[in-house]
Amino acid sequence: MADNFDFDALAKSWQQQPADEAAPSTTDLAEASQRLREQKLLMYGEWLGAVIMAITAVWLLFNLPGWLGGVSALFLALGALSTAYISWQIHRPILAYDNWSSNGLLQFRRRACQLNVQHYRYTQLSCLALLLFTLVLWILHLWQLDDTPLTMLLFYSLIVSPACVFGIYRLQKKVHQKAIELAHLDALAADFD
Amino acid sequence: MISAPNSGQNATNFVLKLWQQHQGAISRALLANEADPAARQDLKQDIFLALHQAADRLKAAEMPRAYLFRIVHNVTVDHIARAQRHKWQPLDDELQQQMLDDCPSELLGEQQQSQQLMRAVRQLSAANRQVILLAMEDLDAPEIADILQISHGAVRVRLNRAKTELMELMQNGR
Repeated sequence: MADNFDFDALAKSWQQQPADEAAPSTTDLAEASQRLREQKLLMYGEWLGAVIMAITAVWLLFNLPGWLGGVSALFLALGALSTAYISWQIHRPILAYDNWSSNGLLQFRRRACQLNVQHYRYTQLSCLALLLFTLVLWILHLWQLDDTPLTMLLFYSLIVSPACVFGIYRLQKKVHQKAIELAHLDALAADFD
Repeated sequence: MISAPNSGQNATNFVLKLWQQHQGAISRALLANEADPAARQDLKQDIFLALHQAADRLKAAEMPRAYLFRIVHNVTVDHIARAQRHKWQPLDDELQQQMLDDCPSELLGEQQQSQQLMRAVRQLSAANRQVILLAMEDLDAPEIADILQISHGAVRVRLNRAKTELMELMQNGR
């Protein structure tokens, strides 16, 4: 079917299309570099968050002895590691487009998107764990099984829990958005296969 | 360290010169892949930056034209992947009007045909559009294979598929 097509004539017609897109200038280079810097800053910001989580984990380990401190520290340490890794995978800039194939690029973006969804799910589970922890604190307090400090109970009930509920809701929206992006990337990757 | 600004300026000048040499092909690739003018401007800037970063390798490349198009098309694919703008959008009114205004009345038919071709190219799937754009710029199969990092056989298959899709779109657009 395509053999009957006068492709040479079409190519000639194509090359006569108006090519009035202005050549770039040094301002364009500065603007693109600025976007790249912003992307890097986002990554560094998330790394800073991971470092703060790691420091808090160490602090908890030494200042909150017992199973509670151990579990919390482990929880935070895992969060710090996953945040740093995911941030690197998602935000690291591509510096040499000439070393990639189109298919490779798409697979890279697809994997980054999948990792992003997994990270959102992990964070949602972390929020859920904090909600359960607050519930356990209340059970301990109401049944007087343990001496739970009132300030801790109020902090987790009035600040941490609402923030977690809001976080789960917002992350669910982001997961939905990423699912759409992933479907788009799957279709593109299949097209390039 | 002192020579860095000079080498940066050299890289900019080299890329600008290369861009001017291939201005038509790059412009057409931009127009075919991104209908939204603001997003097209971003894409152009990203391509310029990518070329700037690869300036030394571009200078040393055996086939600089193929090397240039590999970067142009890879940045474009990445743009499509991130922006989800692969679906065709109508030509922006300003450009459409400008194209018609610039055109003498005896060539108006040709101009409309040209717009129909642009529409059809924009409607192609991203992979087919990529290969057809390269073929329409008179790049041969080995160059296309080098740009897309695929075998000659795969280029032939993809090009055939793309031509068929383009022909169907052109016929449906009439």
